[in-house]
Parts: sequence; structure tokens; C-alpha cells
Amino acid sequence: MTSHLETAHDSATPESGETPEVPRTPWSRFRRRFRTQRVGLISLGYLIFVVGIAVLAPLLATDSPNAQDLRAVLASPSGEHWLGTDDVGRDVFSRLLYASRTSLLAALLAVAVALGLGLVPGLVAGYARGRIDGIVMRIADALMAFPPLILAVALVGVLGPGLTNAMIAVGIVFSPRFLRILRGAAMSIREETYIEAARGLGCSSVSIIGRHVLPNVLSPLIVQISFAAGTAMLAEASLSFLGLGVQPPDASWGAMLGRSYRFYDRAPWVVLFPGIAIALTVLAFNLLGDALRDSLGREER
Amino acid sequence: MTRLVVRRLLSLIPLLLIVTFLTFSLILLVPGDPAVTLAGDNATPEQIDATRERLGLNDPMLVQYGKWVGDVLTGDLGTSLYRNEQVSETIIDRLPVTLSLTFLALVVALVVAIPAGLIAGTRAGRASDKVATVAASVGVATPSFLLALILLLFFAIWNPWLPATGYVALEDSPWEWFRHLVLPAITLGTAAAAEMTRQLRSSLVDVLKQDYIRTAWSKGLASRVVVGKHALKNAAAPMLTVAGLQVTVLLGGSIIVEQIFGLPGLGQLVISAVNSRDLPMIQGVVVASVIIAVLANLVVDLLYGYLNPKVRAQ
Repeated sequence: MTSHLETAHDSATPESGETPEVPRTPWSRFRRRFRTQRVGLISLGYLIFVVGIAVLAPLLATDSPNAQDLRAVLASPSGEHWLGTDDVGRDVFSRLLYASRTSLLAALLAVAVALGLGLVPGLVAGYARGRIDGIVMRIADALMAFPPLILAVALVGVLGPGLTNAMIAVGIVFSPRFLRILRGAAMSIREETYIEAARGLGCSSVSIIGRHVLPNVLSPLIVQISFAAGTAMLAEASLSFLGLGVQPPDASWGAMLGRSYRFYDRAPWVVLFPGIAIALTVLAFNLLGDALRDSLGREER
Repeated sequence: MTRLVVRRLLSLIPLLLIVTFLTFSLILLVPGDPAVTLAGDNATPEQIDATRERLGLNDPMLVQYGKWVGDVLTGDLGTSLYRNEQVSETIIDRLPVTLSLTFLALVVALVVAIPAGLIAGTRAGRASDKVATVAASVGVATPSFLLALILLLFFAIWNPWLPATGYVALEDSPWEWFRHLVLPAITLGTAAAAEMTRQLRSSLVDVLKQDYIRTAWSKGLASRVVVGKHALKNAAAPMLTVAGLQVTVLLGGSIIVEQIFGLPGLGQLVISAVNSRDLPMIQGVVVASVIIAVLANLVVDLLYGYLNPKVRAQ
């Protein structure tokens, strides 16, 4: 009787046969691999730099972001206004610093909404399968059939313009991505022996999902969060460009662009600098995502 | 093949039902009483009642949805709340602009992605591959309005070679139609080109490692035949799927591009509808665009089945 229990216990611990040279924890394994990713490290450094700028904006700004100087409208870059001024004489450099707060926060908010909407249905659908899975996936497929920006614009249209509503809309549009990843991961994990063991020990489905499935989908999730943050930032910029996102006098990079676009032929810098800021930050999120994907993931390597 | 067509067409029915239901449900997201909100700020009680009546808000929800879907099926998308226009007629007026733009953007994407993906995929790890990969990453990350700005400055403002804004219908003058759409199509197509280059590159790299490619090389076939016939055909299938998904993205991206280049398409229509909270018009554009996207992906799926006998047999 005792020997029976022991064998069952043995087969439920897959980590017993580990080779000595592989670092013990997944975290140190990840760190060792990530350290060799030069592009990923540069991207991460750049993103930390942008976050630093956002936090320290009041200290770094050379001017108040909303101070208008109507004698220096659309002034070109100079010693006084490093990146020029916009159509009401506001300092582009200072506004750019403050706007990074809105842009980062917006991306964060949209990813949080998408994750919040996708998490539970994705895990449940992948774990439960059958009819629940069928229904959830039909709805996710339907959401993905919409042209993303048209759906986001329509959602903001009915909810009313504003940064929070815009980011809720973007989050809704992106939620199927998280849902699908979580579902896929949950589906493959549910076949593992340790899940079977947990079920055999009488754990409830809720505790199995929370304690065993969720920690194991973290890797693909982290990768997707990095990509989604970049795409969400682009989406926020698009909505704010159209005047549906953040409302004046507050600005995100996209809103700065949208407001000044009519002056692009006279003062290209009012459009160029926020545009470059968006492009670089989105690029950094995407490249970081690539590096994370290569460093996390397949543990057998 | 016939079985595949029938199966795919049947699978559209539940998809379209859910999609139309989600579009219809937009009204549930209107804050407060939709009739009060949508009638505008200074509406009289009579106007609010009239709006309520026009939107059919007095009926139970499923009855409202049933009526709405029935109307959509017969091509009736209702009347605009603010303009005395049939939503479906307005959409049909605007549709050629958006379809022209999306089509040309897809052409741009394919014209760039196929050679770029081929070069990168067959020379993986070499300098030309690195250049293509970096360019693709930058292309995905660049917002369309930044790219539009650069193109406009170079090709319309500093060198007045191409028009900066406006649209000429294809039937009025094919040449002017093309000239007005070149910059918008490049703007819209660049991100799609980058995405498809990445896809083609990675599937080519995978395919070129296969045994049948080694066999083809050892038979002494010319590289043109090995890459062009054996590898490209097999690598094209996943790229086709990405192309279908890109049509959906392009339709969305056209909103920004139409706004910048002053093209009177669906994108401009939905923006003006959103600014005036013209719900029937918003719902109409959303339904029209999702149906176009679904049909484009249907065509892609059928092409996929044509290219890949395995899919047909299932």
C-alpha cells in the first residue's frame, strides 16, 4: 500500500532529474540568456530612460508645458526652445517630456484592460474545453474580425472621447490576443502529469488554474505584454491624433502630433519630434518582446 | 474544393451573427439613456422621444436586434440621425475610395515584401538579411502619420510632384486616381509590408531547412528553381494568411490615412459620425467594414485551400 503511494508521488515530480549545469531557478536561467541579447538590453535601457523622463518631467522641462508665448508661435528649434514651439507658442521639448507620462500611462492602461478581459475567459476556456471553449472562442474570433482601429473609434464614439474611454476601447480590441495565448497555454498545461496529480489529490478547478496553470503561462504572457504595450501606444497615438483620446490642454505624443499636423509644411518639427518619440518607444517595446521571447519560453534548450 | 467552399461559407453564418450582434450592442455602451445622449445637448422632450422611436428603443433588446439584423440583411442600415441620408447609400458612395486605398496599399505591401522577404530568407544571417530585418522592425513601429509627414514633405511640398490631398474617381481619370493614391497607399502599406516581410523571411528560413530542398539542391537544380518553385510555394501559404489578416488591419488604418490625405472614404465618414454621435452611421460603417474584412479573409482561405491540398482534404 505504501509503495503504491510512493510511486504515484514520484511520477508527479518532473523536476527530479535536473542536470547540474542548468541554473536552478527559471529566473536565473532567464537572466543568463537575456544578458546575451544586446538589442533587448538596449531596448530595455531605452524604456527605463523614457520612464525616468516621465517621472522626472517637472525637473527636466525647460518651460511649463502649457505656457503659451504668442510672440513665438511655430518658432524653429533654437537655444531658447530646443525643439521649437507649437502653434500657440508652447515649448515642444517640455511638452514632449510631459506627454511621455500620458503616452506610457495610456499604453499601460490599455494592456491592463486587455489582460483583465482576456485572463479569466482564456484560462477557463483552455482548461474547461468543450462547449465553454467553443462559445468563448467564437466571440474572440468575432472581435478579431473587426478592423481594429474602426472598432476602437466606434467604441470611443459611443462611450465619448477621452483618454480613459479610448484606452478601454483599445483594451477591448486587444483582449482576444491575450485570451488566445492564455487559452493555448492552459490547454497544453492541462495535459501535464502534475495537473493530473493535483486533480487526483482533489484540488478544485479554480485552485488548479490559480496555483498551477497561471504561473506556467507567465512566460508567453510577459512576451505578449511587451508587444501589446507597443501596439497600444500606437493605437493611443492614432486615437489622440484623431482627437478622440486625451483632451486638451493635456497631451500625449499622439495628441501633440494631431493638433499640429495642419502646420507640417511650415513647421515640420512640431510633428516630427513627437512622431520620432512614438516610433522609437514602440520599436523598443517590440524589440524587447523579441528578446524576451528568445530568453523565456522553451526550457529544453 | 467545392466542399471547402461550402464549409467555409457555412462557417461564416455564426461569425456574422456574432459580429452583427456586437455591432448592434454598441448602443448598450452609450452612457445614460441613449435617446437623451444621442438627441444632443439642447434637445426638446419631443426630439428625445422622436430619437427613441427612430432607434426603436421602446422594444425589448432582442426584438431590436432582430429588426436591425433583418434590415441589415436587406441592405437597409437606417437613416443618419443628423443628415437626411440613408446610411447604406452614403456608405456605398464612400466605399470605392476606401477599397481603392486598401487595394493599392496591399499591392505596395506585396511588391515590397516578396523581394525583401526572399532576399532576407535566402541569405539569413548575412548583411542583406540584417538590413531587411531592421527595416521591417522600424516599418512596423513607425506610426502612419510620421511616415505620411515625411512622404508629404519630400514628394508634395518640397518637390511638388504629387498632390498632397484629394481624390479623383477611377472612372473619371485612372491616371489622376493613381497619382492621388500613391502617397496614401505607401503610407498605409508600409507597416503591412514590414509584417509580411518578416513572415515570408521566417517561413522561408524554415522551408529551406527541409529534406526536400536538400534533395532538390543535390539533384543539381538551379537555385532559381529550388527557391522560386520549391521553397517559395511552400513559404507562400503562411504569408497568404498574414496578407488576409493585413486586409483587416489596413481597413482600420485607412481612417488615419484618409484623414491626413483628405480622402472622402469610410474612415472620414466614421470620424464625422463619431464627432456627431450619429449611432446608425457608426454602426453602418462598422458592419460594412467587418463584412469586407470577413469576405477578404474568406477569399484568402479559399486560395489557401487551392494552394494546399491538405486543407482541402480535411
